[in-house]
Amino acid sequence: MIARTITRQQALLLGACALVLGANGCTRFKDGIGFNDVHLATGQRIGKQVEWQKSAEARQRIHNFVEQQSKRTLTADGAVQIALLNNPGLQATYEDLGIAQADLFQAGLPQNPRLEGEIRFPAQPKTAIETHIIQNFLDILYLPLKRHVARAEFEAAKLRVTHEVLRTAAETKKAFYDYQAAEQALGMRIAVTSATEASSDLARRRFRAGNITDLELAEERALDGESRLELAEAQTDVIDKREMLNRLMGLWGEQTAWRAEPRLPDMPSEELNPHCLESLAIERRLDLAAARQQVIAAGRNLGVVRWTSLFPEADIGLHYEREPEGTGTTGPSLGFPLPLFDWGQARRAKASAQLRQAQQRYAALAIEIRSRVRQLASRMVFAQQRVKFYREVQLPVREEATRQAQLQYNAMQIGAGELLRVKREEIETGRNYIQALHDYWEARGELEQEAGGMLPASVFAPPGVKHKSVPQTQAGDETSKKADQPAGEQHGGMHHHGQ
Amino acid sequence: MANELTRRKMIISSAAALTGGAAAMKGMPALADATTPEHSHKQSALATEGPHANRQRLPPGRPGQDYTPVITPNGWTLPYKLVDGVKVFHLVAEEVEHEFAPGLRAKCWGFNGGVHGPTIEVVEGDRVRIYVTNKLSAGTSTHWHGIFLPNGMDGVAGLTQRIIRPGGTFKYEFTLRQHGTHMYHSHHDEMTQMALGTMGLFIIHPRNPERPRPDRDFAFMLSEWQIPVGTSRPNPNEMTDFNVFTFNARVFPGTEPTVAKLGDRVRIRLANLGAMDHHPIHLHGYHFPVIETDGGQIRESAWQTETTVLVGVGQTRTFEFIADAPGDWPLHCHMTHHVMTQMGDKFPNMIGVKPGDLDEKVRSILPDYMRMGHAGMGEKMEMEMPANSVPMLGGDGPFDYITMGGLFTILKVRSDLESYDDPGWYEHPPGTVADRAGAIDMDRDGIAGDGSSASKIPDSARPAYRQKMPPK
Repeated sequence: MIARTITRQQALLLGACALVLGANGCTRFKDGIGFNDVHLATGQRIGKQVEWQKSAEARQRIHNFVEQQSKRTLTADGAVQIALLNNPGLQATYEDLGIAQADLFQAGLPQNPRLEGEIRFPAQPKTAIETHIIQNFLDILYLPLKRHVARAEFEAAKLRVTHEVLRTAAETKKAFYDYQAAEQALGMRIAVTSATEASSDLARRRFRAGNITDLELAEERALDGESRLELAEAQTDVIDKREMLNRLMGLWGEQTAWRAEPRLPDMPSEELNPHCLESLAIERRLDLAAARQQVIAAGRNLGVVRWTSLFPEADIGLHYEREPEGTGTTGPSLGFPLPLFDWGQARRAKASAQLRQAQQRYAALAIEIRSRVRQLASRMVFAQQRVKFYREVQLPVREEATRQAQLQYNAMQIGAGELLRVKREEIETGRNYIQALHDYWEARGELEQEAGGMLPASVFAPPGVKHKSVPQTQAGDETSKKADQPAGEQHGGMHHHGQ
Repeated sequence: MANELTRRKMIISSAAALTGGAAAMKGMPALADATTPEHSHKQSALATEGPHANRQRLPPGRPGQDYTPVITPNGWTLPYKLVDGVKVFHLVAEEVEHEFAPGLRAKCWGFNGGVHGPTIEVVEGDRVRIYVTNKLSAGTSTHWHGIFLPNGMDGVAGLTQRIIRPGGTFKYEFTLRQHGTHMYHSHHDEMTQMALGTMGLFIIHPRNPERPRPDRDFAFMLSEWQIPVGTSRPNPNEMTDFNVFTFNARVFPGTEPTVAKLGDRVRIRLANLGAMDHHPIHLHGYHFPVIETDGGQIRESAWQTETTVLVGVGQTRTFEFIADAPGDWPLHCHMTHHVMTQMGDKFPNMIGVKPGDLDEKVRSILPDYMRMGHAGMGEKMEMEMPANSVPMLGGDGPFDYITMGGLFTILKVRSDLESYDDPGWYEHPPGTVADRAGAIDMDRDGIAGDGSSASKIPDSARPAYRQKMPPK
């Protein structure tokens, strides 16, 4: 009799177990999905590889790659690639994917059934047993909804991580240009110091010959000293920029002995056509896409909460009880909380608020992106014009002044000190040129980042498209003909594309 | 010494003219020295109101016959038209691109296409009519410096006449009743116009010369300019810092030499219309009496013999000598900066500075740099100069580079000349050229080449020496 009863009951139990085991089989946690998308997106946007250093073998491979790269002359692209493979902060960020993936998985897991068992004493004549298996079944019904939300969240996480990868790439590129500019400025400072050193040397010799006053000598030496102090500052600056790069590339020890070209690359002649930049950025920005996903997730979440907040859970179960007398009873059970005090009103409000918040954040980010794109496009255009002006007008003029000063010196109208002073002014102009060139590369890099990782060829107009020009002197400036461009319609087309 | 005719002389000479005896004029006996108070009074400008005013004119003097024509080195004499016995001249004031020496040109204000204006040469008693056309961009007037004339012909714009506006032509007319070396120059906005060159020489030969006629008669206008190196227009606002000093608007090596035959009577007239600087003009190889100022002839008993004559601003000085020493003799201002062209006084003192490795240091940033000035300014530098400039110091000479510029010219006296063209450099008779002392000479005279045989300054001449106080 018991065997038969048990068989029927156990059949139910066995059936449930089979279901569970079967489900378990489908819920094996697979590690590392999602990273592939990041890898693909990165390759697509900036043509670089990323790797999640999870195995010793991967770590060794990356280590070898870095060793090899740091022996060659480092380029901006090379530095970015090393950073994407080796930056420890980025590796930590990849774990966000692991976390999000776990969350996604967790969202798809039904709650474990609960087994309760009690034994009561005194155990006469039979041990009183009570067992209860409970399974939250509403939870199983709600699972698809929850997975729906969790998938949106997972997408958002992937986008955020990819965005972080691109941000790291941009930061590394900027740091690389900063380093090159610092080296180039150091070169200029060294030239200035040669000039002041020669001037000071000349003053000392003239003093020894009895030809100048102590005051003149002191002033020359002071000028030379200041120049040397500025040189030391420039040297410190180079070290700062180098270390920044080392941090970003995750290098230490012998790897930090890398070499790079100590000058900024020449400015390309292509000119920016800023008309479609804003919509391009809106379309391609991954953090904006992530925010969009967040809105979707919050919307889905609101839907789920609406459905589930009244009855968030309900259990069904199987109950077996054996009385001490030996009689056993079995039966299903059902339990659910009564929505007397909490019928989910707070949860619904919270979900609504979260949705609205996500929407506002999305809008705010979009506005910010548009503004930054406009700002950076402007900055890049103006920096480009300044660089052109330096190259075509200001530097040649300064060089001409030095040449004429040399002639005036030859004609004994000015002395060597005055000649050196004119040369120093030429070098200073060179430094300002480097600064402008650095501004260009920095603005360009930031604009690439703001536009979603790279600037496609379509945003570059052929040279000659008119933009608002740098203010310059008018007639009488014979050498500025090339740089003269009339005011154009710079502001017009950028912002009238719908969000 | 009379420099104007007395009435008696004039009546005689006009009588001679009426009788057609123009030739008789030449042989006029020289009158005695008139030193009476009456004559002195008549010499003064005040005398223009008196019986000497509206002096009747004499027949025009003829060049070559009545006087030795003056030579204006690097310049020229303005030709005249004779109209009813009046010498008619036409001056045109205009902007001229002028060359100070090959390589240095500037836009100046001159007359008739040249700078300075042409020399006007007349004879005492001539009546002159001078037309002045103004083609400058500013108003002008012409003043006849040191000449007796009716007040209204004096050429002081605003005071004695209206300003000659650009495009206008004025007429000046007067009869000369004096002789000497005089000048003409703008008398409107003098500072600007004279600094740009509007001036010229006005030579009046005596009607009855008391001294023998010179064989060679040269006239120089001295002037100064401020032309920063590389510019091509003089700066007329400069007050003290001039850098170009000129004989007839030229600097050495652009100054034409003055050539004379051995034994010639040479007369040199100097006129100074610079803005601020007097010039002590020095002639090598000779001394000479100064025979005339712009006020007239100096009588012989009052002559001062000089080797250097100081010509102040606004003055003229004339001296004479017999060219009895052959050679190439410099005639130059003795102010040392005036014999340099475009001297840059901003160049720092580099004498005695030991350059060491300074040159390499500087060349690392200025590849064309070369040290200069360590041994003064005597080294001829072969370096690129600013456009439109000449080396500060001069020209190639027969022995070496001549480190002279500015107010420097050469009197060339030769014993055998076929013409007065530039005869080239003097060929010195052997044994008369200072050169390296030979070993034989040095041994004989006990001279050591390193200077050790020379006497050293005695203590008594040393500045540290203090006179011993007499014992108390």
